[in-house]
Amino acid sequence: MQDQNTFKQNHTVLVIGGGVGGIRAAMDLAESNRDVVLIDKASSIGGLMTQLDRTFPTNNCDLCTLSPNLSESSRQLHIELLAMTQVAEVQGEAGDFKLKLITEPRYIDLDTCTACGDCFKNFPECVRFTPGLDHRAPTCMRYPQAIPHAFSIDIEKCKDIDALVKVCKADAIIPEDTQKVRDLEAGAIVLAPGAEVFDPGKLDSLGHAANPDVVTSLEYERILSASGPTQGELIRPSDGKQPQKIAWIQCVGSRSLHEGAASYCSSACCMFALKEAIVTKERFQDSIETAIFFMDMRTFGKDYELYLNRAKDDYGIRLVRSRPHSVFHDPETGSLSIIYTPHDSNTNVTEDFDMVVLSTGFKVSRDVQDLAVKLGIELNEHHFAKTDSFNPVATSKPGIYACGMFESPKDIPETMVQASAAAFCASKNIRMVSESSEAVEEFPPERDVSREPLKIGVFVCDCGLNIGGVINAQGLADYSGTLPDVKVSEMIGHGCSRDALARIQTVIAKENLNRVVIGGCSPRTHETKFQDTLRRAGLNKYLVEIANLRDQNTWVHFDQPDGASIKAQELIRMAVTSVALSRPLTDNIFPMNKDVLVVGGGVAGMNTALSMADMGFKVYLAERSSELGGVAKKIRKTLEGDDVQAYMTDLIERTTQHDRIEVITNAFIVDHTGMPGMFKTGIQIAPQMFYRQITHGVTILATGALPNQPKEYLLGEHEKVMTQLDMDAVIEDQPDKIKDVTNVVMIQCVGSRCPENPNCSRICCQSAIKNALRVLELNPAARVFILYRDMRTYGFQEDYYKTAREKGVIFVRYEADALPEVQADDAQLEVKFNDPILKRKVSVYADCLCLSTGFIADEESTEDLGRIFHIPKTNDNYFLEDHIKLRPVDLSVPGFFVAGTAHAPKTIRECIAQAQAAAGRAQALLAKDTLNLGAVVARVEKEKCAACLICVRACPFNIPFINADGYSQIDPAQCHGCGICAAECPAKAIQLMQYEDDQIMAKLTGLLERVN
Amino acid sequence: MPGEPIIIKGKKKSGFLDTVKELLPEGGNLNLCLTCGACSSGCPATGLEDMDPRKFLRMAALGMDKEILSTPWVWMCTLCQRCIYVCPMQIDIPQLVYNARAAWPREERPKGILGSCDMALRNDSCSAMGTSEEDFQFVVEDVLEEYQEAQPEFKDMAAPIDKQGAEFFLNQNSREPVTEPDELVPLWKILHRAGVDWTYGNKGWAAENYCMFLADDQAWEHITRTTAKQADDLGCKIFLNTE
Repeated sequence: MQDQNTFKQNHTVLVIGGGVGGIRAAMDLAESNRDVVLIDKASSIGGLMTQLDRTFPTNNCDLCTLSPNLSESSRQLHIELLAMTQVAEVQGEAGDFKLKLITEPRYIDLDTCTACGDCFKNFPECVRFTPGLDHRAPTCMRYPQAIPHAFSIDIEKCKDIDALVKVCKADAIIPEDTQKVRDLEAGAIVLAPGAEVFDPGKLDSLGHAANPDVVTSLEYERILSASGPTQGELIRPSDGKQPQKIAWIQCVGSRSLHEGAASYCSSACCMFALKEAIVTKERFQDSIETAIFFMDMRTFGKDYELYLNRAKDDYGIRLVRSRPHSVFHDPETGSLSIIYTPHDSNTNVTEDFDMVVLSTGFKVSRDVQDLAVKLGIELNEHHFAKTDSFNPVATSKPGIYACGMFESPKDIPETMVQASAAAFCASKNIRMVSESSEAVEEFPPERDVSREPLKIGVFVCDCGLNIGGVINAQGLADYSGTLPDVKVSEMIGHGCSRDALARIQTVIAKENLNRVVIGGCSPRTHETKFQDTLRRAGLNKYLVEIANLRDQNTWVHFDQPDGASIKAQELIRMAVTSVALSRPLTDNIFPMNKDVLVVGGGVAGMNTALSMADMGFKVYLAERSSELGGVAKKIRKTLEGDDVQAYMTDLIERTTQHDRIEVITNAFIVDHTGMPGMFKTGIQIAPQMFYRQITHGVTILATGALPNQPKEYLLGEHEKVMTQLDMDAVIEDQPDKIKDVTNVVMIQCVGSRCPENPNCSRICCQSAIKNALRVLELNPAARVFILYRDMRTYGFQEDYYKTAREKGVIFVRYEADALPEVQADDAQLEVKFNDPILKRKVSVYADCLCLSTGFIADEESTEDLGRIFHIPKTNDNYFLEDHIKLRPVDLSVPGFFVAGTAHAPKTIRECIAQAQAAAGRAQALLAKDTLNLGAVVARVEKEKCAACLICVRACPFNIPFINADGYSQIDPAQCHGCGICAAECPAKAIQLMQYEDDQIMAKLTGLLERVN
Repeated sequence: MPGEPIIIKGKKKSGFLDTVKELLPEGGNLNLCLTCGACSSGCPATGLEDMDPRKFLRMAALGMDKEILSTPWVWMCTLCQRCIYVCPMQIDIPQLVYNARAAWPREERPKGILGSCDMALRNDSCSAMGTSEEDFQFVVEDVLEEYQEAQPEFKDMAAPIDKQGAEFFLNQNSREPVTEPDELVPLWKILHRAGVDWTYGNKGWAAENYCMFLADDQAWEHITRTTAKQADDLGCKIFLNTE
């Protein structure tokens, strides 16, 4: 592991920080054949996310969504992982950094430690653990799937080193271990060091230091977490009782000028408080009350508004718009008393709670600030990495890129986008390692099992409490052992952990198993992992069957353990009878077409096209209109004051001049077939509408969204009523007009957050503030009123919100059911609204009414393209990504990626980041020279085929056709493996591989027949 | 009138809020309000006169100067500073209230505070009870003597007035020497046991400053200067304010 020669110098990217962002960046680079050294100062990777219980908006268990990513990152052949490691020195420049890395001694040999826990059991004081509420979890490795999967020793605390060494059966403890200094040459550096959470101790009125029942959000996550100190039981720290009433207080340490606090918005806290409240409600329903005290509810992300509505309407979470002054502890009852002023009242209300959760924000740690100094990169006034509006992940120093929290406070999906973007930008600095020279994991030859009698192994996961908390996993394993042909049956804990996989491999070899059943979670996320284990054990990978005990049983029937136990037996029985009929299959492998189709020529489309073309890929850029530019071409300035027009002119110039980009304007996509690496897309080009077919390997959708123009508040009827986009142009083109105004009113959420368009348009709060500040700059005597529902100036936008208030902009809140009213005569507009604090009507005679109308999905585009490409959409017609948390750039159809406002409303800066991320994801997919399409395709038995055309009509992808020999032919390279033709064929001439009729029938037999 | 709409029309005029902003460092952050209500939820005067700190600031921000310069609520505020202590924007609401008080004609300000301030201006004791320097001296000496005799363990205890060169200058709320003289003693005992070298001042011994609560700038400055000068003249190093 310490051998330097394994790395081709200067082809390496150093990724600093092993949280979700760093892992994503490392995996993207590795997938695109770049060597990566991933370092983390902690003893295992995973960062903050591994401490969370569940994540919004699906409320999935965090470890479940994260662990496939974690173990992949240690498995990837291009990634070298160094835990407990930090950068000591940096020299050189982009393409040629020379670094000194220091690895602290672990006193345990990673290769021999089996994480059995004997050292911890016998000498708990010598084994390191993460302090906080997480103390002394059973394995003391912070979480069961920790990577590296090994303990670490705190030698200072160890009194009898010899005894400690002896207790380790694996001989893995090395007391003479020392700090290691290592030189590394790297072409580029990706910074993903994350952030630390605000310590609320200084805000003494909230009582965090004095009262154990006042906890931070992270502490609350640990209490809810199955791997936390209470094993997932929700109990009050002071007395171990289950709380009946919990309050959340928002913006603790954020949006504040208090010493040590941050003046920016931490962006993620509103969502995590809603999530924690929903998860609490899901678990305890009516036996628990939840209230969130907040200033502005900032659910500005994709579909987050719907999550907020669910919290309010479906779960009955009380949202109180008020910031409490203090939390008082009543020593008699033990309860916590909160006094607050409701937002529309001036009478105080006192309410008692059993627990209070402080939604603490994020800040950059001192360590990371020091690292920035070492690296010579500039930080902004809040100590985050300084980056450019038009180059969002590039730091001030070429070759060094920042992503995630270190760039600005943000949530997981946006971290994932930036991580992919940073990985892509880093990869530009280094050469790709050619595929032929890389080491490919060698699997042993496959054993021929065709003549062997059935020997089935069943492995049952408890998945922590996910399965084991509802049913008796050991009991289920015992039961499975009684089923026919089952040779071995075991309970294996977390089946996806490294240990368990190794155990499965060993048992297969030892018992000479030839079929395997995993009683675990979803094959969608975990099948590949178990298939690889079979391959390592010398079996064909299609000889495994997964019974989804978690998603389809213990998650949905968590409140009926008896029924769930019976269902678990049935699921296992079905898998056992079905796996008995599984056959070895061969994957279909084809050559890869490496050309790129980008649909949409706005800021996102052009950035993706240029990124890919600069990397040497041929790009077709199809734009529906007659010119490039999209919505950004109409925008003049960003909130930060950047000149958008100059940027766009340059971008269009570079795109049209690029040798490897072919721009096709007036282009309408009309048909599409194929697979990633071998797509064919038909385009008709106006005005003649002639047809052209493009062959390409990946498709990136950057079709944008439309500026909304709702018919409200006299928009389009009165010359003094305009949108923010119109105002942007008036300010630039007719500044004299602005100099004459006395009163300007802006109304937020016009056409957003309403029944017709339920989501937040994300960009409008900042654009209103941008225009308000520009109006006041031209005309300091003007009065500007902004009527809003929640000001959603997330991240550093909050600075501009503060400046706007400082300059005298008056912000007035309105309720969705009491909208402002506008009356007009020719000369003047009268805007009437209610001031909730004064409880009085205000009437402003305005010279100008500016409506923040935001975005609306380009339904025509997404509808047509969604149908042609088979891409699902959200209810409000944006493209729906593959996984809203962890894969925000990938679409559900392999080979398709999304960038820009076709995904969801976002700023130019965010569009560019996603464009670079899409380029990175596409590059990773195109890195291979061949394509493996798997083995799950439809196969026709020509003798049985009656050429009835039913399959031809039924196939949603138009693949089957009747060939010259008169029977249906299905091209395995094009077949999606959906199985519709197999189900429809009246002659049963079509079988779907891995899901053949006899296997499905066997499942039914297993389900319906009682086994003695 | 509360029921009528607030009409905003024509050019912005500079108002009371702008005047106060001029007086304060960083303008007292008076424009920064997020209307979160933290101030009101901790304010003992919330709800009195249908007013609270947030509403008061809001009215100032909307230029409702007539209302905020006439509401008696400003006299119900205790200037305790609980509002600014938690305000995320560190808005100096107490200063806004103070300046609103100062805008009242002196004779219309609340009688109790006004009377106490005027008493303090009668002599150099600066006592809101109007107690003279001689009366204070008499009470201190009388009480001290009584305790030295009754409690032999404190026979060496001192309560000096105008002791030149003492380290600590101590002031004293004037209610005790007038109505509860025994209440003076516990602090003397503590200082005695701690071996502290301290003194009262003959001038400016009274700790309360009602003129400040009256928002009478000249008068409260006079009182503060009187007591500070006495401490300086005696060569004391540390001013111990007991109020």
